[in-house]
Amino acid sequence: MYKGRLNSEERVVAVKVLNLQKKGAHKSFIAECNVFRNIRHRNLVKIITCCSSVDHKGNDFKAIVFEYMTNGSLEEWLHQNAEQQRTLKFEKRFEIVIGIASALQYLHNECEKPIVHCDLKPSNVLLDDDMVAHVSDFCLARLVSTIDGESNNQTSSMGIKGTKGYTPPGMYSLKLLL
Amino acid sequence: MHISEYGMDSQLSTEGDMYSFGILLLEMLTGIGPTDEMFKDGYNLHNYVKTAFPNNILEIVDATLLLEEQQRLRVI
Repeated sequence: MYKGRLNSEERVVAVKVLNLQKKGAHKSFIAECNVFRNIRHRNLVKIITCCSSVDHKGNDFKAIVFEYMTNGSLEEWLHQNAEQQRTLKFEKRFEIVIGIASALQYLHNECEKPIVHCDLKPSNVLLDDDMVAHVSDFCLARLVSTIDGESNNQTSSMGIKGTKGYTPPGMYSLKLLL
Repeated sequence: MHISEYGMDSQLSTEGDMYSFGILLLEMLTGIGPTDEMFKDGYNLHNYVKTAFPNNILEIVDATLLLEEQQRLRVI
């Protein structure tokens, strides 16, 4: 992630440059773009643009530009260092949880095709100037083709990797992806 | 936080997100994440909350929340 400024608008943005050496990077770029193409909600990070091109060395270059969230991630607020004096009051925590819940309600029930985030955790919840929660990082997200929990062949055959501790135990099948 | 190296073939559904949301909820109340080093050998965030709920809930609530409440009471 990089922090940048759009000269034309004096606007601070966050730029996510994909490491294309990493396996599945192209796929996650497409996944993230597909999700963002159709969604808009108060509690989701807003995408400004995306870029798929070549850099000055002629290598593939892919990046996504997001609105910059000044207050960082929920992870930083919950597990801060001792020198930081900021804490989240109960009311704030409550508001943040409601925000995340309404983002999920939107993704699961109000989009044309339900969207599964697949990697919800505090480091993927970003906070803006007013401490409003914005769910981010849709690179593992999947569009679900049918509402009754049945997914199409394409999605079910893909290995979904979430984050240990936040993914349901049933999802850790015995098969190790090597 | 480490991305797990495990995969899954089970069906994809919105329920997985709800599980993660539940974990996040427990983390926000206790201040302890599911990957904390105290959780091992089958002991996890669920057990941790379950054993204290509902009678000893104050023992597991995030200390910073309690501190805030104490200060408020002092003012009153």
